[in-house]
Amino acid sequence: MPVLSPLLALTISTVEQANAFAPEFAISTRSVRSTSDILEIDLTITAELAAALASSERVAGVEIQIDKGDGQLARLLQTEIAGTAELKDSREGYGARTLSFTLQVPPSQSPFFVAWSRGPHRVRMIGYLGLPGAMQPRPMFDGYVTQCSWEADPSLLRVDCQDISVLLSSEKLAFNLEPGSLRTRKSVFREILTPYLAVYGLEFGRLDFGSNDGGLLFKGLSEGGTVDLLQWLAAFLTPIARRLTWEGGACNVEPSYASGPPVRTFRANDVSGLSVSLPSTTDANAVVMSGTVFGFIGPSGQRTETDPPKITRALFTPEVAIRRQDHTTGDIEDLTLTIEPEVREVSRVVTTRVYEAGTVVMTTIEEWGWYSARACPRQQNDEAAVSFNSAFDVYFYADGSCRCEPQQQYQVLRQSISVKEFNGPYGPLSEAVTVTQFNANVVPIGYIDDDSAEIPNPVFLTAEGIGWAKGFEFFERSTDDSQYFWVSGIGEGTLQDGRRGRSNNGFGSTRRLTYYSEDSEGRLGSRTTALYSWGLFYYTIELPVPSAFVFGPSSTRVYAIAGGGFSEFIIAPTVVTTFSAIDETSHKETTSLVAISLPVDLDAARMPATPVVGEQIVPGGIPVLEVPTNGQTAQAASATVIDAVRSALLGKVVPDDQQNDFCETVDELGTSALELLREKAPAIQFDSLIDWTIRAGAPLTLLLPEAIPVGEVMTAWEVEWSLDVRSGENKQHILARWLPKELR
Amino acid sequence: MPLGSKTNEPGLVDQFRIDDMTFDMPQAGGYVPEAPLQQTRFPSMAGGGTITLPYRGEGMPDRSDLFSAAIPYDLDDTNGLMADQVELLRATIGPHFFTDWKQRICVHSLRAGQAFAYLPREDGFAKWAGASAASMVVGGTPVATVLYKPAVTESDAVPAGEVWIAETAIRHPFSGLYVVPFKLGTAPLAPAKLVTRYFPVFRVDVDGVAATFPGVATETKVIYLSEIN
Repeated sequence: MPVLSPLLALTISTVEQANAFAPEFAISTRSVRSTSDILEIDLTITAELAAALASSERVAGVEIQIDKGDGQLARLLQTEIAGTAELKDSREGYGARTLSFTLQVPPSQSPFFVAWSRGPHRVRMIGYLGLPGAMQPRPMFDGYVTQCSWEADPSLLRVDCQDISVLLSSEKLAFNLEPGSLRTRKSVFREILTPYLAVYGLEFGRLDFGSNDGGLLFKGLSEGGTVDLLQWLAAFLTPIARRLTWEGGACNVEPSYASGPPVRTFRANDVSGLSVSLPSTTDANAVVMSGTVFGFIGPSGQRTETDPPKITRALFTPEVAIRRQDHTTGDIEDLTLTIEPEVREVSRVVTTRVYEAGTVVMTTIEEWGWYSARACPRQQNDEAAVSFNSAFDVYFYADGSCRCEPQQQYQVLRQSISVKEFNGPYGPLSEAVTVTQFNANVVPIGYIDDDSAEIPNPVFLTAEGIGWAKGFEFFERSTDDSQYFWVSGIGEGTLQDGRRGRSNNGFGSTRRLTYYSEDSEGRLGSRTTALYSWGLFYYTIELPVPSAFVFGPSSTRVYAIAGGGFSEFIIAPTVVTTFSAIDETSHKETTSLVAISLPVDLDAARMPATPVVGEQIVPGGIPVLEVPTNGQTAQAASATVIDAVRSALLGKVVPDDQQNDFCETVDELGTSALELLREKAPAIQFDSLIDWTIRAGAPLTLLLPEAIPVGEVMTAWEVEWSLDVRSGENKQHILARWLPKELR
Repeated sequence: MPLGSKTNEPGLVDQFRIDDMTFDMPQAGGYVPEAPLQQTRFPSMAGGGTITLPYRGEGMPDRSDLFSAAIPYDLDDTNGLMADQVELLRATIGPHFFTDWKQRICVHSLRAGQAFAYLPREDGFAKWAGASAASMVVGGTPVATVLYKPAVTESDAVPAGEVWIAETAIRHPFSGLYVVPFKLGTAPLAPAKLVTRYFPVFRVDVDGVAATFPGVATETKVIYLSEIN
């Protein structure tokens, strides 16, 4: 192992330490296979760049390395480079970045005579920016020579290069995917590119396909080696507003336009030559996107459609804990966790519908959000002694709540599956709603035995003194059933009797039944009862009842009636309530009861089956998803996107008809149309000094109210850098587009 | 042996040196050297301007310039040797080495711990033993001992309080310019300015010699020099 003499020594073993050191750093590791390997940590330090940008006098330069034919990259001296190095980054096409520079060469270096200038040799470029004694290098280009041209007088060799995408630029695509694969767009993308990347020693970088990994593919793909791979991939990504980039020697997939906080804010003193151009009035102001959309017939034999996720993004800071209770000692220590606010996905709702003859028979709604499961900070043993939670650490948040994790996580908060049955042509017969969400599974902290003695239950306790079975909320399933009965003579759709039940697969189980009935005056009323079972103990819970067995303070009251053994009777609530303090923040209440037998139909046949816990090994091969592809029906579909402002000015709509064959839904057609209209958005062009930071696709702001609305960001569409190696004269020309709201 | 004029001693002494030849000081006001700073100005739409200096690589001075000069001589029968030297200089291939024995300053912004850097030009004291040795001040503290060595590398062990300056120029590994490496025996603990005062020798070429003949037995010749690498 080589002796390393690091400029910067870090000891980071936890995420907290990494965040405390530098929350904006991206740290990557590669292939650490043994203790003799070296852990490679790439740190991008931007402080020196920021200092240079803030200064009115700065130092800029470039370093170009070329493979002179021996496979090694050698640095070119500045005296070997003539004039200006030019770099261009564009979000057009497949996102290639190009570099051009001129070699100062002696005569007789014509490509006719020099093999080097005819070969695809590797080239790298590093940009430098900073202040004297504090320079910051930034890799800006990694690619290959594509073309050389020689000027005899003076003797100069111009070298044109393209980034690593050039390796794939001549590849053709041959790929087949059966219809109804139900594979995600990301999965297919990876399968297509993996063999090519392996051949050229490339790798995948950031693959941001958005929610659901770019959506599911219902259509088949059939390419026979006649289409350009990269052009095809660009079109394949268009329906989800994504594009290819090739930074860092890797293939990346990124959103096609920028959102979020700007990478840089330009002020009047940072720019020159500003111009704003609107799209031509003779240009189309509407895009009509057409394609075919398949109604997919799923494994159930029923048409299944998933709506585009409804996603809300906003400037958001996940909540973090301020204290932690150690589960081994009970000690509570202060925490200093911070998360920077940034534009994040704060909610997502995904709705999937299954149709039967055009009628929705099943609806699945999945809701995402930021959350950390609540937890119990205390526990009670079977002698009613209360101590700290010794099972796991508990985190205290600023709002006083106790949670399982040191910070909120973005996760599924609720999933509901509604299945409806219909009574032929007449109306609904039943609806079963299965809801999976965070539940606490409240249990009594004690019960009264047959001798009217109070028996404590060993349970976890919330800060308020409520007993929870596992000590934390867990994502559990519960089911509410509604059944509708048809009674002749009353009229269609009249609810005569209803039944609601609840069960869970947690540590205990609860059945809750709601009965609808008429009172003596014919008014519809309801009553809800529930049976809770936990180990050997069973409790019948009635919600709500006038008085009962009370757990916790009134604000979180749970009523229950104890029954010894499994009883099908509700035991009338009564009676003596006693209070005793647990500690300064919680207390417990117990009640002794007098049993009065009231027959209740608990419908034992509807009790849930014993939950299966753990992994179940199923003999036989992996099941194959059987898809009735012939059941799919292709439908010509189109989506029209109109620039309303321009249409109003023109007084008419001028359509531009386009087609994208990779759209799976009408919404994806709409996205494809929007992508074309974004190309027509107002263009803002200006020059500034090189900062090696803005790249195509980056969000940026221009503090010139006349240029774009205040507070809005625009997307760098094209960036051209030029730097005279000798004089340092440099410029970055930026073409940015500001997207009106309807195009975002 | 001409005496150099230091930066706090206005004016020039009476002789220049080009290669191994000594030239008299031109007539008063005739010698106009130029060394424009290498930098560019970016005029912004707000009316301000931002200066960019070209990056010359690690260890180079904060600012760079490019020397050029026109040296006029009125020649007659009293300085025939000068006339011959001017003609010889014109006919000889370069690069030539020129010094006017005027002390100049260059400034380096050193990082904490940085001891190795480069002077942008050869030191006249080291090359021709003229004038006086260079002086260096790091963060306001003079370097006690300045020594000249045939060659200086980054791995040299320089005693504390000394600085070693190379007697010969090398090509800078980044810029390719001819530079003179030096190393401090005591690196600054924090970023610091290094101010060097020395007598630079310019690597020049003769762009031309203009001659006019105003009368019998007299002529005027102007040597045009520009710095090269």
